[in-house]
Amino acid sequence: MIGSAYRDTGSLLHAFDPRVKLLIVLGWSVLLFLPMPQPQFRLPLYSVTVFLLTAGFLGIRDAWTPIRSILPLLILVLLLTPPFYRDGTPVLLIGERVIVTSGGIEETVRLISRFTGITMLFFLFFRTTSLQHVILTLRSYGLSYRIALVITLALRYIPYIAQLFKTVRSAHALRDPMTEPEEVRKGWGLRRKGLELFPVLMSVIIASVKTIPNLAAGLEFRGFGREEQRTSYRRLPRDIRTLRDGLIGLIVLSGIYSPIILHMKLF
Amino acid sequence: MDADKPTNQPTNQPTNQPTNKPTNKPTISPALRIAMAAILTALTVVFTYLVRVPVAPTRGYINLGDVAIYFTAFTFGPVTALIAGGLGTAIADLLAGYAQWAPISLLIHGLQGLAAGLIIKTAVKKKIASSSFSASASASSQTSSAAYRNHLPLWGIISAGLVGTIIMAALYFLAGGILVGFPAAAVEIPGNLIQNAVGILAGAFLAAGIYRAYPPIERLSW
Repeated sequence: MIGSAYRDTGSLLHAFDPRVKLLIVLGWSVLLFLPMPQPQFRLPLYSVTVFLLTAGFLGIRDAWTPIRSILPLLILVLLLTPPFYRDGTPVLLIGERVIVTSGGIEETVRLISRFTGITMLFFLFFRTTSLQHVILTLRSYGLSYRIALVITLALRYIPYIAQLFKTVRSAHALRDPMTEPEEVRKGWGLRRKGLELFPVLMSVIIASVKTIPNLAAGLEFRGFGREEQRTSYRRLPRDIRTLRDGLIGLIVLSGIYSPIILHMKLF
Repeated sequence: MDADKPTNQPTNQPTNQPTNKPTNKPTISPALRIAMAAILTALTVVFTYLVRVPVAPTRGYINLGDVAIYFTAFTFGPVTALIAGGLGTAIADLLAGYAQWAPISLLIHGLQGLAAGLIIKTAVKKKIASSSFSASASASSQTSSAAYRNHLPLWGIISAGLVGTIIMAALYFLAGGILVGFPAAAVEIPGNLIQNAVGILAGAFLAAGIYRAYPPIERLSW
């Protein structure tokens, strides 16, 4: 019913320190927004590199997943961007009218490469890092205990509320079965669908809200709210592997940033 | 026997004791705040990720994430709406495979919930302050709840909804413009406006409905 992006395939990236992975993802994402020499060539190169890394670590089929999800948006960018950028030399003319210019193509390539790169980076991170490790990573970067607890509890209650929603909807359907055939129901307007959904949502909200005092009582029973500092059951390790992964991360970031740093020195 | 004895234990349960003023709520313990934020975050995730209403003309879907955000803002106040709106939509993005939008959703929907919650809170306070009803309304918890519900003013709902919509649509346009270009980002605006309109309408009805169906909810606002 609900699944996260994480798949445990046991690749090298799965074993890589999530703190370093997050730093690389953020560093690489920022890089895609920085001014660089010949961005129309370099940006696609950076994005293709991420794609190849994803394909190498997770397989070509997995690497295609995020591309497929953003494909409609990429097509939209491809269609809508060129007409709005008129810089450069005309590339496509219909009669006297300039439709596409070289500046428009460059901007389109830049936007598509940047968005694809960011999408692939985030996909790679969340595909290879479990949500528990994501929370622990954010904790190690200073996320407060309370917010981490809210996220953890929310993840615990999402399947419960999702199941509750399905149960309540089934119960409402059983009480008031829909006699119209499928084709008639498909034609129902938004208002009708809304009216049908409203009692279900109300029941789900009431049932969910009623769990709040019980959860709060459970938290207080476990000692939450007392003065002493809270402790965590799990922490990310700090050992020689962390150091090794940190060094690898430093090398990767230096490698991808070096053209820009060199460019800044030259000009 | 023991029920009459005073206790120093913190209370989680919203009590049904009469209050002097409709807005005079008991102190909410940190555990209750965490529990509220967690459950409403989970509710926002489910509304965003699972509950989708198909729209026949465009063959697309409206997700009900904004319904949950406006409901939380109208019922639980700005802080809960900030946390549940931001975290809920960000987690929904992560689960749905749109992780690249998660940081943006966290910020935008959090601000949307915070702004809507602050406006509705101010509107309720103003209406209660200006009403002579406030002095005598709270003879019982039910009356208190009715007072609060009656003080959820229409102009407050409309202005909270308008500001929330502007924040959400404008910031998504800006973020989308930076990521995929402003022409492509502009395409999203009508969908965002429709989603917000549905969210305000359904959120307001759900908030009004829950005050009727579950009066203790009034004391969970902070």
